[in-house]
Order: sequence, then C-alpha cells, then structure tokens
Amino acid sequence: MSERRSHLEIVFDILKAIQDKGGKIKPTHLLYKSNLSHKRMKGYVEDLQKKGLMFADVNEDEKSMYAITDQGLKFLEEYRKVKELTEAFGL
Amino acid sequence: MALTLVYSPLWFHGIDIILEVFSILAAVLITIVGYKAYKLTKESRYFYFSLAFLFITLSFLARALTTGAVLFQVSAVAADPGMGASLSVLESIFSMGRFAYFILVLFAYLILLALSMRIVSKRMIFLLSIFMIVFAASAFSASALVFYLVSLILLFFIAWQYRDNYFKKRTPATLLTFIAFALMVLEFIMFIAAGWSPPLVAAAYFFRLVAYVLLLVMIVRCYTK
Repeated sequence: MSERRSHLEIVFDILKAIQDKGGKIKPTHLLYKSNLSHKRMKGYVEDLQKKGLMFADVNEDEKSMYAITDQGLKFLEEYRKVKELTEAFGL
Repeated sequence: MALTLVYSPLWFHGIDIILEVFSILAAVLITIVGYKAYKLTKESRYFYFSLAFLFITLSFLARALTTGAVLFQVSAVAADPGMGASLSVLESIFSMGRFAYFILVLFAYLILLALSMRIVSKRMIFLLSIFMIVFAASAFSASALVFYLVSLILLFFIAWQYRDNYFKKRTPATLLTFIAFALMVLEFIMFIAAGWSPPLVAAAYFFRLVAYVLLLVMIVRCYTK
C-alpha cells in the first residue's frame, strides 16, 4: 500500500500538474491529476491562491482554468531539490 | 599519563588543517541545504539533519582551531624556551577542543542514525544521548580509542542504512551518499589503526576528504539539475 501524501506533497502534485499542462489546467483535469476529492481539492486551490502560488483564469473559449504563478514555479523548483535531498539521505 | 597534544604525526601537521578546511566547507554547505529544506517544509526531520551537519562543522572547526592553536604555541615555545609554563595552557586548550570534538561528532552521528533508522521515540533518543555523553566523558578522561570505537559503530549503522537506501532507490545520489559514509567508516578504522601505526592518520584524513567531496558532488548535482 502506498504511503499517505503529506500536505506539501499534495501541493507539489497540484502545482506540477498545472506546470505539466503548460502552466494552465482545466479544473476537471486538476481534480483527476491531483487524485483528491472535489471538496479537498477546492480547499487546496483556495489555500494556494491565497498564498499566491496559483490563480483562477479563463482561456480563449471563456472556460475557467487554473494557472501557476512565478512564485508557484519557484516553489516547485525548491521542493524538487528538497525531494532530491530527502531521497539521497533516506530522510 | 602523558597527553599527546595533536591528532596526527609531526610530518602531517598543517596538512591536516588544510584537509579539514575542505571537509568544513562541504559540511557547511550541507548544513545550509538542510536548513533551507526545513525553512520550506517546516518538517523537523530537515531541522535535525541540518543540526547534525552543523555539529559536524563545529567539530571540525574545534579540531582545526585547537590543533592550530597548539602548533602555534609549540613553535612559540621552540623560539623562546623560557615560555615553558605555556605547556599547561596547551593541555587545557587541547583538552577543551578534544572534548568539544568528541561530543559534537557523537551527537551528529546519533542524530543521523536516528533519522536514517527513523527512530522517533523521544525516550530512546534521550537514552542514546545519555550514552553519548558518558562515552564522550570517558574518552575525554581516558583514551580516544573509546570515542573512535563508538563513532565507528554509529557510522557503520548509518552507512548500512544508506546502503539499504541505495538498494531500494538505485539512484546516483543514494550511491554517492552510501559511498561517502562507507569511506567515513574506513576513516575511523584508520584512526583506530593509527594507534599502532601513526602514518595511517594521513589515510584517515584522505578517506574523510574523499567522503566529503563525494557529498559535495551529490549536493551540487541535486541542486544544479
């Protein structure tokens, strides 16, 4: 059985899902990619928006999207380094 | 009992301090990286990891500074034999530096062992800490052999954990960490063997230097990807 993800791992997964989609993602895709319930994902999205790591946007078809901010990209980069350190020392 | 006031043979004096500087730089970098990880995640494991390497840095500094101070005093006495009274000062400087080195190294390895073995019981960590203080104190008043033996045992178990970690993940970073700690085990074996054959101290310093260079390479690789 896989281990439960920590709060930061979920944040990382959400932001990475947006980054992997070129910086913008549809809410339904994010729900699928983040592997969370709708209620939990909404909570995370609100929290990340407040922290300036992502924001709500619309695409050319006026459909709602979520986009990652520069701060969000910076967080992803820093967290990747932490993951490397964690793996190297088995922390 | 006569007290030897330096850690290495005469011909190696000075070189040991230079080699120590490289190890200090690597340990400082790992301390900073660990602390940055703690600042980002607020998870205590990164704080303790950073603390372990801070203790290692301080232990190297204590060792380099006391060796430097003793060598400086010895050359001053050689230049002016009238300064014979300085010998007791030398002994005090060396004893303090040695105790700081012992206690810092033992606590650093204890923290790394607890982290790598995922020991979370506070009572167990407290008990182990008491043992470390007793070992450091006994090594302080008696022979450094006790300290080297305890450090060797701790390092052996840490290296074994990193070996398991490597076999589980099989990445270059886990391999470098495992090799670095295996070299540290060799370093302490050399320090123990140097009791019978002093030139082996040079081998011990060499193993440590390579170990910390490997850790440095691993950190740089992780952070420049």
